[in-house]
Amino acid sequence: MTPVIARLRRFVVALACFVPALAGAQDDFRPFSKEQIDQLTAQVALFPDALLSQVLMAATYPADVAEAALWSRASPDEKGDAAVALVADKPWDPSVQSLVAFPQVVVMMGENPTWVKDLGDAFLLQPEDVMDSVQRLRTAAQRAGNLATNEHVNVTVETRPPADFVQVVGAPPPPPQVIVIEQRNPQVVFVPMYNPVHVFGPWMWPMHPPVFIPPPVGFWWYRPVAVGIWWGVGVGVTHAIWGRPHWWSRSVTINVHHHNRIHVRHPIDRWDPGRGDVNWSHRPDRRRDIPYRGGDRTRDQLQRRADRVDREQFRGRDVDRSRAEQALRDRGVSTDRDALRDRNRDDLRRQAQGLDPGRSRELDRGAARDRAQSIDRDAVRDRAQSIDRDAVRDRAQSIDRDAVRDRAQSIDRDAARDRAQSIDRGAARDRAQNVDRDAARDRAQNVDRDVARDRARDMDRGGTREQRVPALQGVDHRQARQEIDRGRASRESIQRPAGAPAQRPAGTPVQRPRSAEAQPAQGQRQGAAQGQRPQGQRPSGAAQGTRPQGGSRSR
Amino acid sequence: MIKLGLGAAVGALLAVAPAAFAQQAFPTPLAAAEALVDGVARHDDEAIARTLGKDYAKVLPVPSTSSEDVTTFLASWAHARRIVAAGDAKAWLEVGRYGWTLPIPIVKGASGWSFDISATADELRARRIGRNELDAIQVMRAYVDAQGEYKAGEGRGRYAARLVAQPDKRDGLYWPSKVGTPPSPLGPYVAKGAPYGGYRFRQLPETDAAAAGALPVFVGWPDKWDDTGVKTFIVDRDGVVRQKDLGQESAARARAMSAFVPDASWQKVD
Repeated sequence: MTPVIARLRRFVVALACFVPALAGAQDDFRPFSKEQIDQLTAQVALFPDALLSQVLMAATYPADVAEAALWSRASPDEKGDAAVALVADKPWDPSVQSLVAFPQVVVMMGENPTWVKDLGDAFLLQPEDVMDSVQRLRTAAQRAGNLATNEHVNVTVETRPPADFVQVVGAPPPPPQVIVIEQRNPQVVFVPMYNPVHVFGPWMWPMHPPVFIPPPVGFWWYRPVAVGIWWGVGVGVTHAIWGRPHWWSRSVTINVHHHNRIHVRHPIDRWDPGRGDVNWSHRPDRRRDIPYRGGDRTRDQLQRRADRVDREQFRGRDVDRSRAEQALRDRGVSTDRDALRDRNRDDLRRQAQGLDPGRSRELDRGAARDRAQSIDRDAVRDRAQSIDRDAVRDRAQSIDRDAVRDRAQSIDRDAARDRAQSIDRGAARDRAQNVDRDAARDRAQNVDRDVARDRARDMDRGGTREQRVPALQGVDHRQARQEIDRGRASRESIQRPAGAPAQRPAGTPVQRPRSAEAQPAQGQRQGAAQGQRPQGQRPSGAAQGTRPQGGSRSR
Repeated sequence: MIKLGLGAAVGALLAVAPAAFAQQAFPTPLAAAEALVDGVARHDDEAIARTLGKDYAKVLPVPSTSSEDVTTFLASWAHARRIVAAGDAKAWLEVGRYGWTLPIPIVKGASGWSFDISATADELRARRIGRNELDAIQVMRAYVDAQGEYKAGEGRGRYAARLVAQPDKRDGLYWPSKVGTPPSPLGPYVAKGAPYGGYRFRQLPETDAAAAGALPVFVGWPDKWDDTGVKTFIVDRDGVVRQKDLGQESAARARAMSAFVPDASWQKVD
């Protein structure tokens, strides 16, 4: 233990020296040039796709990577899922924790902190250029005869974007072709070792030689590589890899099922329940002290981007909810009771899928009834169309064995069996391949019918099988405290007529002077406004209303 | 006949039995909490009845099957727990890492500390309101995002003057999107005014200022005041989110709003 601490201390000192050295660079607002990015990506461009995406994400947290490298050096035999489990308590970003599954990668990254920081910054600020650079280098390696399908990986060239590819207005045109490197066995990852000076053929930029980090001597994975690629020793993983690059759209997505299986303590807890994949987004609050290229301006920009991504789910596109409604309408049900039961079921399903269960509870009875009753035909059609899209993508992306197993374990048996029987890998692939509108619509209708049938069956049997315990819900909500404080503050701030109960009968107008309506910025203002009423008659709740509003919340 | 009478007597006795447990008082709030958690962990409804009182089932029903809520609660309890005092005679049990407290206060009586389940419904309502309000604020900000996206794309430099686009047009923030095309900036739930997370939303009609290129004002109000939310929120022309309690008539007042004139009563949301 002591040597590790000593090493850590040495590292911190080294880092302290290293940071001022970067001080000049952090004011550098210029983008990286093509040559510079090729220098940075050369070391990892030939990694299998999924592993490469993990490296890129982790590189945006250089301080975490440095600590993880020390950890891996100290425990060189820990790898795979077991290693990830061992570092679950470390304050590192999940992408870095996951990378510990591959000690050869983490230790390599630990050898050159400057390279890690630059690679991460390039990926943050110029992701498209980084993705294009990787493709450029892969093409070169292929041309040099060093990159081809073998017993460890499949190397395929795609010359046409997938059917569902959408060219975003204003984005650069898609690349002419992409080279995909996939593990043959998704659960065994081989980390290639190569010398970037040679593997790509004659290096394109003589003035900008590639960054080469020779593997440190003495580890189980070590082997000097002169020419070509050594594919090393396979590392078995189940959920440690959850990133995936999308070469055509030049982005990286996260498989939430895998992510949450392995990072139980840092789950992605609020996401569109129908989607298995979400766009990756960097969290500046986890960056720690390492500055960004471009300094605070970059940090602000990245923070705004992260907030914006967080808010995506608040745009009213809740797929699951719309499905539930569709099912209700199909059955022509609009009674409060049924709505309530459905809600419980939805709660279950969402929780089973790892969604923050709190989101589903606010559907109150009236709301469900309103919705079931007040939907006109156009709305139904609209929704059916927009559901199709999502439903298709969901299925194409998020159905895999794990998801099926997860669901089978936590949802009730019948539903799980239904699903397990109709979803298998072949079917998922088939679906992904021939996505067309009609088929998609048919499918969406089938889904709704199934959901409706499940529900009808449930009700016949007298309601849901798993009981919810409202008083115990929300323990694992990251925002639990803010929710409680805000709710109490809002209720306490209500200025009730003297002696009135908390719940006024409906339709009773509340007479109050205009000034008293003002929400006080500070406690004393509220005191002043209420001073018009005799103090003694004020309900105790209002007397405590001097607490500042929950606006103090920050995300 | 006698048999029947005996059966009835036994039945009556069984029915009365749970009520026979008097609610227990404990020397400290923590002791009360430990007794409750012990009962929950063992699925022991008698123990729970003793700690919470006879109406415990309304608040904390003992799940007959495995319950995710109970499991999560117990796991969080194992991780961290403490008693948060609220004055001399009231305390809350805090569990887990996120500052969550059990919505059943522990109060001091003549014989010691005991759970007060009569306060639970109110506490749960406050939490619902808090959660909905926080979410509604996010919706307000997501509206600003959506308008920004629209302006940069379909709107060609102009904000959308309506939430729902007219049929076959893209003059609003929401339109039905076909398979394989990007979704509209806003989803149907917010755009069409249905209750979403206990709130409803609308955009104020276009005015001269909107025609001049300012952000259209957006309002979100609680579907049921003091039940699904208290505050009404607004995005002003500068994209700033503000809040105000419009009282019992929140819905009517928010729907009737035709223009927003900022004044001090609308407090800025940080």
